[in-house]
Amino acid sequence: MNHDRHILLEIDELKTHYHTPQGVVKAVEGASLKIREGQAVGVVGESGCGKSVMLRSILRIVPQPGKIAAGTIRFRRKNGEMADLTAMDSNGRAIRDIRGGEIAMIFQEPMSSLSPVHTIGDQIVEAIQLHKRVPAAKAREMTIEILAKVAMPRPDQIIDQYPHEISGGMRQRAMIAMALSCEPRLLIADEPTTALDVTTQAQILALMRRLQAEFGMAILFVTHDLGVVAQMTEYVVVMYMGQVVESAPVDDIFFAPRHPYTHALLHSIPRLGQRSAGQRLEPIRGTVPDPFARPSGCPFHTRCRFNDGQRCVSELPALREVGPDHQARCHYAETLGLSGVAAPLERVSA
Amino acid sequence: MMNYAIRRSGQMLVTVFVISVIAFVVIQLPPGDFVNSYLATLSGGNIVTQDAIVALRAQFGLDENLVVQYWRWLTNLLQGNMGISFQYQRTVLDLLAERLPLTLAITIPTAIFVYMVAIPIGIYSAVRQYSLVDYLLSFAGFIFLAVPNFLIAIIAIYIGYRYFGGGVGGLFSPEYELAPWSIGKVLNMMQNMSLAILIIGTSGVAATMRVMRGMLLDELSQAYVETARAKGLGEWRLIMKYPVRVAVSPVLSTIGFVLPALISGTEITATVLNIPTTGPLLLNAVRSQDMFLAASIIFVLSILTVIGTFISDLLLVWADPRIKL
Repeated sequence: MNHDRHILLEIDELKTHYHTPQGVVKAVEGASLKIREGQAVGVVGESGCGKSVMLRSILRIVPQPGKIAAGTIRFRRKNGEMADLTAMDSNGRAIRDIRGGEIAMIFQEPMSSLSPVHTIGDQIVEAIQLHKRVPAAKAREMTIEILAKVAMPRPDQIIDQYPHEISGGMRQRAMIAMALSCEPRLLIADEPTTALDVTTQAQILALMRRLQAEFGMAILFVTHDLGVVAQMTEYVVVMYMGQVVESAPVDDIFFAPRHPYTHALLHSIPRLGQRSAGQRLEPIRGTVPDPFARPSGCPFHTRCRFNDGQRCVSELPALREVGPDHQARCHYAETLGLSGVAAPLERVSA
Repeated sequence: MMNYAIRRSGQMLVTVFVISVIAFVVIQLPPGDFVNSYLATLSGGNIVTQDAIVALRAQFGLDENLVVQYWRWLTNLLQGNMGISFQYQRTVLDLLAERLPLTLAITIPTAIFVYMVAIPIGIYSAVRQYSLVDYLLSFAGFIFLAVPNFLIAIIAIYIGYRYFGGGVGGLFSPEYELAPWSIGKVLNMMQNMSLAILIIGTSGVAATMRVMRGMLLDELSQAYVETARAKGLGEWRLIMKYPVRVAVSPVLSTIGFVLPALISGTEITATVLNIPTTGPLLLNAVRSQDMFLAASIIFVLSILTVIGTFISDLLLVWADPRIKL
């Protein structure tokens, strides 16, 4: 559907490993995805599936002792040239120009993601001055402007306040303002609403949709909340144990999943009216395996209802086309006949 | 900020008053008084009559009730009269005027030396945690923390004497000892003092460096550091601006204790190094129960502590806006 748009970011078989004294943790072990310009892509998966590490790999801010072991991350620069981010020095000029300037990131915890000892304005002005040659007075003006854009009340006062003086929702607005201050072409959002209460969450999501349309930027939205995915994204990538197990347009994910893990995720979340229809909630069997002892074959076989006991245990399935713009990493993706959910979660418009 | 400073100044006055009471009482705590220890030091065989003792007590004002003694000491103190040292038979003010400037001339540069060296080392150790340099610095830090300063002083004197053929103790080298003031003499004094500062400061450096390292390690993994990194800031610039700024608060809050710790910690070291600061004076005064001298020194040192704490509080308010005024 979006093939007329340029590819903005293409991750190909990314592997990010942590070398610890206890052994190697393969946090990301074969992640591939594409984001087109202006597209909103969701990444879902349980805690520890490698979502956050993948995001940090893009910006090259993987914390020690994590290292990118293999794969490429190609990003279309402002001038149209495709640059491989994995080849850059993680503290070099090139990647630092991209960070904040072309790819911005907002984090999960608005409480701790802002420096407690600097004013909101100080932190946003700094971002602007890092990427744009403007005098301090102009940067301050731009900061008030961007704060107003994220619907911050009294932006001309908030600019001089400290994070502890404003609410969690306002802090996340300030984070978004900081991220958008340099008009990035890709916004990475790492569970930006998880730490907020439901009302504030809805406001922030609506704000992000509005701003995405206004700025025309692509969003890579990471969450473990499928409801948020349904609201926010047009394309979804499902991750399990560091691998992309399925990727498809959002409707296909909900109506016609092809990977048993996606299927299990969909049926493990409660929906309105489920009880009266006589349906029970099905939890995913078992727990995420120990990262030091990855299962052989398909990493999901230990929890999969369709485990055949042979091929699944011995052979790692490849991520392959199973439909238009739809990939799955399962030997039996075409033949399982998995059912989607009857109605996708309510979509909230901006 | 101004209001806060004024309010804190008011509290300082109360603190100083309480300290004056404590300083005075503590000096009275050991059994006996100056007259006892004075008589004990008189050459044996002389028989001192009871009348003579009573007369001595009356002469020094020691026969009166404690409250009266305290009150007289305090009112005199407020008029700048700190009393007379029984032992030296000179005014306390004189004795202090002689030694306090030198004490400050050693402790203030020592404090500056401690912070100037310990904070950068702590930052480096934290940022390069578990590197070879971090291990070496931590190892050296523990050694200097564990070895008492006066022992380091003794070792320095030995090394200075054995290998460089010169004495380390004292303020001046022998050739300048009695010479009139000259540029050479001043340089010589600074040279001798820098060694004293180095020796007295080592344990302070070791301790402060550990605090700085530990604090910064906690902060380096905070989410706001990642935010700054994702903004495109260079690594060292962001470390200095964000986590160091937060981590330095607890270090600043130690300024209040570092001043008196240096001043009292220098007592034995200064005695070993034969430097005429207030340290050896206080040690002597306490040993011989020279109460006005001892109480006055303790009082003056306490006031310095209170001032140090005041400075550190003001710095904290500047460093961490979460501290409400």
